[in-house]
Amino acid sequence: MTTPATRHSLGEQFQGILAAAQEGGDWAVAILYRWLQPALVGYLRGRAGDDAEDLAAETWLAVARGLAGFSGDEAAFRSWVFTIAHRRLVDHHRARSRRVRTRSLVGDDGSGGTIEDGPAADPPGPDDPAAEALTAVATDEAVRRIVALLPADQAEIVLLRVVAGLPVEDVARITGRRPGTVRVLQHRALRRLAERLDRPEEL
Amino acid sequence: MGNPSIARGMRPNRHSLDEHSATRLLQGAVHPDDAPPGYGSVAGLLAAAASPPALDEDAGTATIAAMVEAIRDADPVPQPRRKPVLGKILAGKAIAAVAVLGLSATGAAAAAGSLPDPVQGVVSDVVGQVGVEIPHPNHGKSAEHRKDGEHKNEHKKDGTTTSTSGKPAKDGTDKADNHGQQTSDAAHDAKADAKEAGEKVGPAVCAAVGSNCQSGKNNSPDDETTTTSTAGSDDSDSGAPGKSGEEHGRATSKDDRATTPTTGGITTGEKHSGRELPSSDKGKGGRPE
Repeated sequence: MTTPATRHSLGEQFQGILAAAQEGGDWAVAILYRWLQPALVGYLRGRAGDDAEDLAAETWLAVARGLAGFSGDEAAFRSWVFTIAHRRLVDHHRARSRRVRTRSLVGDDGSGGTIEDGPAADPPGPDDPAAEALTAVATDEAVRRIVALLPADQAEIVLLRVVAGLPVEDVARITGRRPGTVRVLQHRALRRLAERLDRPEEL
Repeated sequence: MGNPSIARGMRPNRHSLDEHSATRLLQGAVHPDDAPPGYGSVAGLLAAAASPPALDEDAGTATIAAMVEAIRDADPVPQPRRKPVLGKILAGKAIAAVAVLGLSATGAAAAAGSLPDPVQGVVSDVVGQVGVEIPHPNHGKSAEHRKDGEHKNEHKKDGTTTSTSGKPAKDGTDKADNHGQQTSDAAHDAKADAKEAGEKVGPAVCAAVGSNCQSGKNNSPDDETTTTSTAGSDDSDSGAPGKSGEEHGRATSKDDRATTPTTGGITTGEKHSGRELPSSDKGKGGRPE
């Protein structure tokens, strides 16, 4: 099994591809897109569900607008793209939270409703015992499971570390936390996952 | 298994995880069979999450086209916002050096009185307010003329009256563009008074000076070339009562016993008469004290 960093690396060709993309080269832009789009959608899907594709498209457009001013290596480009995605995700949650509040006050049928704080979370819970499903679960399903089993802050860090393939320092910068805090949170997340997956009946 | 606390107590350290193992798990680099005890399921889950999902080519094509369009519509590559630190430092030093040189040169020129008159005047006024004395253009001219004595020679040649501290009056129509000229005009205006004063004061001054005084004798009311003077030397061109101040000054430079004008040598006879200056000040005149 190879690490995500090796599997998704462009290697020494990155700088040439980046320069061509900054000049508007179709092929170079396509390479960058295909390189990071799977991880980007995986990360966004875990937090935004069905809106992940739209958020990914918005992220890529923002990347294109700022691409001329970017300078850095492959890791920096990856971190930059996921930073933009994270901001889009935060904006998405804020907008959705406002929509939920409005809908809850008025109600779908025009009647009054209850006020809900925060976005409407509808992550699917694990339907099958974890031990049976792990080997066959798809990536999306794995992401959904992580989100369902962990608190939001821990799930965010695990997705950025696992799906996006970012180091602790980049995750700390994106989420606005200290690297030590990120390490603590990811450690707690792993222990929580182990406990939940080891005792599926407690879920 | 019904009580989680009992279950956890039966399996102490089951979910302990070191930092290195945690990092490998989060990288999706641990096979479930190789995972630490209790983390096999976690390793499988994270490995599945780390594997790239399928790519939607249709959506990708549209997004790539939009990206290319956005890149080509964007501005050219912006210049770096921050200049190199070394460039900033050098630029700052260069500006400071130029400023220091400029101020030093201007200050030196102002102190020497070699700036243009308007600039010199402004600098003198401004700097004078903070206690630094810089020659004023008008005063500077007066002192300069009085030092070189040219105005005296001029007067001597054409026999006309000139200012004692201003420029030589060639035709008597010089404009009062400085202090010396103004005072010279004042001296001319006081001509009539000087004649009378010379007659009155002259004898007294001559008595005080004691030698070769021709007080009042040559003071002719018709003499248009003279102003007033109460004392002088035995020089035939000067020293007689009614002579102009500057001529009086020249005379005193020759004769240590003679008196000099009290205010730049440009006073009427009754004012400067009887005042004797030290030899070091004789013939110099200068700005009013």
